[in-house]
Amino acid sequence: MLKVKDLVIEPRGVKKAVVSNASFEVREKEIHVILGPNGSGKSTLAYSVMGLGGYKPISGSITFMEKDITNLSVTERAKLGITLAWQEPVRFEGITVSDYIKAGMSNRDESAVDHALSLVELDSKKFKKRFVDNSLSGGERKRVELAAVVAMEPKLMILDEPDSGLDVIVYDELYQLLDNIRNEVNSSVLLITHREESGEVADSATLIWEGKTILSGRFPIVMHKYCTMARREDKCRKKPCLMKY
Amino acid sequence: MQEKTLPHEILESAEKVGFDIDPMVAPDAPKLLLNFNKVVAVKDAPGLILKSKEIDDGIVADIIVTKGVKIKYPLHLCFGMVAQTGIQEIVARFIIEDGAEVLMLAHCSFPNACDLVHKMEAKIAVGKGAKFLYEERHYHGENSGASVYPTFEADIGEGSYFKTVFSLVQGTVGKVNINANIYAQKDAKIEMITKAYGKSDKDKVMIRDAVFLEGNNSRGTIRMRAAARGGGEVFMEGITEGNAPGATGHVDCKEIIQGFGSTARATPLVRVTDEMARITHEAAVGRVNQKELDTLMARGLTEEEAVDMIVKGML
Repeated sequence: MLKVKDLVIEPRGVKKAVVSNASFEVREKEIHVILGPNGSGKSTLAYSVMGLGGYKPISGSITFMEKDITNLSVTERAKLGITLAWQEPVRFEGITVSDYIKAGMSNRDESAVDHALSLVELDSKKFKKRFVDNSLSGGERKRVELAAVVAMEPKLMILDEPDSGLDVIVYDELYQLLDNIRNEVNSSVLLITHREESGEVADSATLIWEGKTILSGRFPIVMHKYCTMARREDKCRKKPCLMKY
Repeated sequence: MQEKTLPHEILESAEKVGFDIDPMVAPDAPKLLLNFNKVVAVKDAPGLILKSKEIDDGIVADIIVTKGVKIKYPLHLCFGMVAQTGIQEIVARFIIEDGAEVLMLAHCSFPNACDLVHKMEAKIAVGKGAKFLYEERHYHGENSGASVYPTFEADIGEGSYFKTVFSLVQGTVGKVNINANIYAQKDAKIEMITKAYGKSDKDKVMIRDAVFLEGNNSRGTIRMRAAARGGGEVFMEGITEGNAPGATGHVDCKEIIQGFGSTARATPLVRVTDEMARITHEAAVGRVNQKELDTLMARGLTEEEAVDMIVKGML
């Protein structure tokens, strides 16, 4: 479904390539995890796949549903069925949760808004008329972002560290939620994270290290490689860890 | 009660700015509706005194809520003019006596303005322990042909609450110059919200909202929101002075600018003369936040649709 090949990205205002050679593939209806340490270029890669202005690749290609989208705009990619949920979703003044969710829907039906909110376990009666501003907690804002993404019924959801800033206790809950959403929407998910817990729902993964693809394949194998390179085996006290996968 | 017909153009423009006109024209609803210098409808209520006198270019009016009376339904005010040209002048006094409570919804409509001037001079006196909510929405037509010059002076008594919302976001602006001075006495609370949208090089907005916190523990917030596009100019100045112990205030200005030749200026001005007072401010002027744009475009909106949604939300 999504093929990223030999991508080199030099974000606007940065004088060196943050992603210097990235290739991976996401298949239909799978959850594909991009693993890598902080600063390895994971988010840059996500923004480039979405087509954000400052992240246009200087070489390489992005193909989606057999169509070369390397030079398409954000809006054009969104209309093809790609969308992105940010790590720290932006706050909007004066826009209600309901209007925000409807913005991406082709059929702006109220019941679809209710359904999207229920999928992320938010009570639509309590949340629809609230504003997408600072009055929402961090966790609520992330859930609203997921609801907005789900309501689009996209073919590919790019989720940039949806697990960041969350309590360890709710990781499992979040990944279960993603699995439910994937099944409900029949969408592929490109999940940016460095949490091994994502393996509970991941089908495949790619390890990005210093802007380069190190390995793509089944999640446990890629995660093992990541742990080895990051020397996490010694540090990680969560047992069982890799055995789980 | 005196009842004539409010021109349909004025009613339509009231709807355009989001007012529900049914309660406005309902026979029993408290109201003072004006077309140019003619009072076309006036309806008082127990404890609500409405006195008006027509003058050559407008009216002189007294609006009084008597001591301890809580007006159950909103009082609708309309200062309208269907003519294309002319001068309308309103001199009004608002007196909200001790312990009284009222919500006023004012609609200033100049749907056909080409070379039209509206002046308003309002004096507001709010007694002790009273509550006065005043919302004013403007519609100046589509020709940038109105020149609107309101001035407000308000004294808000001990322990009272005064909230004012001014909105000029539908249609064109023309020229608007608003000057408001609000004085807060002991334990009084003031909230001022001002929103304006200049859409062409003929639209020039200048708004000065000033809150003077004169009494102990008085509080004031000024929130100004504006957008300028197509060469429009929007200048907003929010002033708060803390002149008494425990006075606290905040000024928050945010303006968005779109397109070549547009100008936005936000000036939060704070002045403190008492060491036990505290006033804060924030201001942001510039283009639409890129992350907000990217987020909405990632939902399939075009850049223009995304900007429109963000500006409408802010205003």
